[in-house]
Amino acid sequence: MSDSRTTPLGDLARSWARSALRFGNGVLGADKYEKYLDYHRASGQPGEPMTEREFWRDYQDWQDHNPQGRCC
Amino acid sequence: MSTTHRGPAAGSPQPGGSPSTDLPPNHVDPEVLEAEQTRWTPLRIAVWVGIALLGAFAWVMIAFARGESVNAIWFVFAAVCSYFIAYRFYSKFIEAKLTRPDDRRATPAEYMANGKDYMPTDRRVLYGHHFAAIAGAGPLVGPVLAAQMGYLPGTIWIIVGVILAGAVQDYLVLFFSMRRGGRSLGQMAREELGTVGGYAAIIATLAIMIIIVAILALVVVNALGESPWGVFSVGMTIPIALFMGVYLRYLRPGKVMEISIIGFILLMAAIVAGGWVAETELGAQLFTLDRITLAWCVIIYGFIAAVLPVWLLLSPRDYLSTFMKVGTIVLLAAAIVVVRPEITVPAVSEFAGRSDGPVFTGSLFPFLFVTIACGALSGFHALIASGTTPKMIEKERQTRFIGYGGMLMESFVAIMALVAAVSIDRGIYFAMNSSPAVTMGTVEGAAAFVNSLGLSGVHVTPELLQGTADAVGEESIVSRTGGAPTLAVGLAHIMNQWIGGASMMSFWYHFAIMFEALFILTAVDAGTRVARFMLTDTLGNFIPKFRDTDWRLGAWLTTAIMVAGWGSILILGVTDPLGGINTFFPLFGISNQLLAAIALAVCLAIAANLKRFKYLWIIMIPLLFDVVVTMTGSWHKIFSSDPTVGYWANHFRFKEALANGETSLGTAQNVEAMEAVVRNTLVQGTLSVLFAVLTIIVVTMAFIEMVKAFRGHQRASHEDPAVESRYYAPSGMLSTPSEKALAKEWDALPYEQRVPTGHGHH
Repeated sequence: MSDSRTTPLGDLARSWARSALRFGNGVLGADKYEKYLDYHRASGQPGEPMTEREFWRDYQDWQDHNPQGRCC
Repeated sequence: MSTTHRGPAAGSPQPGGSPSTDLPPNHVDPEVLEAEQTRWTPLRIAVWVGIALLGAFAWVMIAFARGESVNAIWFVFAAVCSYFIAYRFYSKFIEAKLTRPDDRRATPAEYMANGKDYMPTDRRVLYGHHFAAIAGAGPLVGPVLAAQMGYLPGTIWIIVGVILAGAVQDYLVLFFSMRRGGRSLGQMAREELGTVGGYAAIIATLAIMIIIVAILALVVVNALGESPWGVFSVGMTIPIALFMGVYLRYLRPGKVMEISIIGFILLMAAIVAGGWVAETELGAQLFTLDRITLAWCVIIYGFIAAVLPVWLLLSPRDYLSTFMKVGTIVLLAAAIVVVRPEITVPAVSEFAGRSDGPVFTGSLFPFLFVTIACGALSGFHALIASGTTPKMIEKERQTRFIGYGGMLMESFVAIMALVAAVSIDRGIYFAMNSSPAVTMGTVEGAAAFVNSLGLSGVHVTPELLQGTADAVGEESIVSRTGGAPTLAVGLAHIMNQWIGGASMMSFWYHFAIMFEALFILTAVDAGTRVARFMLTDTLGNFIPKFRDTDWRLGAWLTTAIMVAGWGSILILGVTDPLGGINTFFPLFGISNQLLAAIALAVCLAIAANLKRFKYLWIIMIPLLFDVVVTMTGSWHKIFSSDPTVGYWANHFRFKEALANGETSLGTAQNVEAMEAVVRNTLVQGTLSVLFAVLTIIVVTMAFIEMVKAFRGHQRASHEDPAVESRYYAPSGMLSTPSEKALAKEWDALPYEQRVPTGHGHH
């Protein structure tokens, strides 16, 4: 196969892989920090946003008091 | 030409502050959307006629074709085509007539956005998230047990039930909770049904959670009992989860995908290593645990997991479980399509017309409908659909895709579990699922018992049973009740034809046991924790100190109460001389369906107060059917004079026998066992009465609300006030051209303007 044919296919595969990864991250909840950053910047709150480490610590401690159910 | 329209129409919510004239419109004109989604073009007509014909043909194949066997692929087509039609027509009808979502209204995720739980989430991601939260071991276990009656009754109930009942419940609860800021089912019940109805609903929910956790735990204990391989590999999930927790807390915070993949690889290694460990003498000695020891292990685990900080055990285990859930479901679906197993089980078995089946007792109506709860109608979902998911919805119109569509996916999981269960030999099926009291726990006893059932085409030999056990790497498969081992054999049977061949059978068996145990243990620890918080919340009404979630003693005390609740039922189930799961599982189904009745009753009251009287039948159909099924089931369990069905009949039979000085009765071989039966039937009977009474109260209160509303005395709406939305996202899996165009306009904005912050809203 020539390059002109494989490149668009390769691009397509890459973009699919990216979407799949983004979907997987979303379902797992791995993208929470990015979303928090967006939220923080958009809300115009004073002060720097939490670092990734601080955010996850804060989030996990918050989870301690806000349990989420899992079904049967 | 604009396909969207600007500005609020008559009767629309009034914007809180100044109307955001600089933003693109917050919704696609419903008429334009309607035309795009439902206009009948020749292509569309052809596609839908095609789906209908394929679905009808598949139904004919599984329902009427009486050949030697039927191919499993027809189950897939019958289910998927039915789901498409129901989603396109019935859920659309409910949307148009009953819920009437309005994309001009901001959702709680928008107006209460806080960067934590209130967070607008892409609809397709949220679909996966919601599915992972509602689906677990339930839809995998119920259909396996129901296969006793043949595949047809179960298939019909799973598919018709989800369309008319389960998906309707999930959708409505999700929608109404979203309109109420994501309030929980208990809170909604208190608001809509008054104090009595509200408290009855909360007590019922707590009691039902206890029984559900207990019986799920019983399934795990039965699957792992006397199985060193299973105990080792499932036990390894605890150190793996601890490692993941420490990794995420201290080593690389936030790298959730990375550690989940590492965790998954370790999990696979644990399964493989389990095989080696079980073969060594020391390993076999160390990890061969009897069911009572295992039950205590689960109880201790449940308590520790519920009081430990979430980051250490619960949340990493949840990542692992979600990762496995999505992966396994896709794998199983692919395997069924690739392998297309032939099914030789009769469509309607000998036990469909009897009430003395060895897997579960009771007649087809109502007990088939309570045995398959998850997958057709599951009240537990109402706890997820209120509270968790509604806080993440971007736009009101998305509730149909996530609520109704999410449940259709769970139903599909149930169909696949049924296919896996009926693809194995019927003799093996009954040998695995009959209680040890009748099989004596030996291959000879099991073969003799199964052959004595007089089932057509069933002749099982001790060699066949031992051969199957050897193939899956277990000591024995006789009386491995609870559904999980049967599903694991079915899955191993299907998977090895695709990947790995016979030598991989034992891996696939333990892979299936592993994910079922993982789902269940996640439900056990999360369930205990949620129930503990519900209890502290309720106790907080009387002793305010309990409201303080940092109060360690209170947390330990309430956790201990919840664990003692389900733990004692678990111990009763494990030591039950009548077989445990056979007598306890109906209680699981009944309680889950009673929770569904409560959820539907709350929806009924809400819809009546919205004056949607003409379309209340949408809720009435599942509610009345559910009430009839569960009440008949409870009636049988409480009042039946047949001791194999009625808890009290059995209770008094054993009591009387003891009083007469008898020392054995039926399968209870000594006085101690007889006393155990007396005790267990007392607990089961009392719980049946409690559930039934609470549900009658809640449903009655809902009907009173409905009649009041009909007479013109509506309650004031408890919906949050409408807020004009400043956000846009398409509604379904795929977006229409005008949705796409509008989404593009929004994407072009700087993120400050399109990321909801919860500010500038009321």
